[in-house]
Amino acid sequence: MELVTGVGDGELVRGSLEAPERFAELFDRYARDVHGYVARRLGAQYADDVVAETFLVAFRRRERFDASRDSARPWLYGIATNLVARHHRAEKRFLRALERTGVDPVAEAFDEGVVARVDAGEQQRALAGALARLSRGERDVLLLVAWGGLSYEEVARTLGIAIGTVRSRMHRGRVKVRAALGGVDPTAGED
Amino acid sequence: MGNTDEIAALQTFRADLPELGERAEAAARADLLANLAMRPTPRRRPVLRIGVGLATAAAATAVWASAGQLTTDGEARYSNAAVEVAKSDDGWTIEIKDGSADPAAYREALTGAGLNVDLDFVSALTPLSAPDPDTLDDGLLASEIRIQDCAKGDRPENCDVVVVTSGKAKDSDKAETLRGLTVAEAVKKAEDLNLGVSFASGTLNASGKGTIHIPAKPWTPSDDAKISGAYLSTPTKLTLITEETLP
Repeated sequence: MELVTGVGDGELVRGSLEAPERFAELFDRYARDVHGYVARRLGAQYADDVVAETFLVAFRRRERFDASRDSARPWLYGIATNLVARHHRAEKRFLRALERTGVDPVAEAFDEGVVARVDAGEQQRALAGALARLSRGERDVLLLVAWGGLSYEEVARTLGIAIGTVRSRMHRGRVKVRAALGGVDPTAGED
Repeated sequence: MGNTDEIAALQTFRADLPELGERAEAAARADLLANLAMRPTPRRRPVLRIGVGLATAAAATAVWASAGQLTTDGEARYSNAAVEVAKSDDGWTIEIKDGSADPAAYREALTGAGLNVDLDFVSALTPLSAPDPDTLDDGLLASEIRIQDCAKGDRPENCDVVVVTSGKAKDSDKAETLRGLTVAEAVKKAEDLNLGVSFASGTLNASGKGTIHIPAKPWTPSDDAKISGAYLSTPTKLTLITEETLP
């Protein structure tokens, strides 16, 4: 299949309305990024399915993508995040298991038949516990920023929430994570 | 530790996981390419895709969504061979007499009872009639409610009300059966599907017959009340029909 390269995401998505095969290039550009983000939340087994569905959902909704955007990456992360929400119980279960036992089911899932358990350090276990105790909204915002590299504005647009909501969720999430790490309110003294 | 340290700490969390495997990447890409070849250019379609077997739910949905457009007052009532629609002080009662009747019969009854509604029936759901993602926000689960394979003469167990999740219309094992669950169980399933919940009282049997009482005010039954049916009142809101009677 011939793919057109070197164009911006907006143009690529817009062009895929008439030439659907062009959408495959978006997959080539971002599938690994999205997979990395989802895999960190749910593990490889879920991530493979979520990534595949993320691009299918994006393809079906490509007509609504704002072609003026420079990058489709936040849009794809938003779709993936909402699909991750289907598995929020599994996500919390994995995090709690890591906190409790020091063994990460997510990391284990990558071991193909080879037992290579690595005991997580105290900080990793504390982080897992903190992430498990965040609300889904707080976790989404925090991880889109920390793992997805999205700006607050991108998170707001991606999740369809006000930027003030993004800031408040970030604040609460950071406070909880910081407390779990044994520190004080990281935002104390900030405006 | 500075203000950004907790973010830095998070960035180390599971940072060394392997990347997307070549096999999985190839499979996902092939899946996408197969869909690219099959799917037409997206276009706007009706909010709900409703099969003939879901005419009951469609009728109830229309009433729920359009109660504010009531053009008569008092004891509005209309009855035909398929359905009887009546308004009381407690809300609306829709008695379904024939769950597989022509949609026109429901439209006639609703209009006759004084409801100015705009029904939109689709002739039938087929395994390929996937939920319409264009009606939902990005990432929200496209979903639909249907009475699965509910044709006349079907065994009741084949006619359960189900929620079909996005892109999974062909996988019946992915469907969430609601009939027979308790309210608490059904609400949990709805939450898993990112669907809001409201309640009505009544019973729908497997063939789609029954009576639905839509309360005039929001009402919540007890957690252990049984679910007899459900319908989507908006693309993201599920109305659960419980066997518990209205107060």
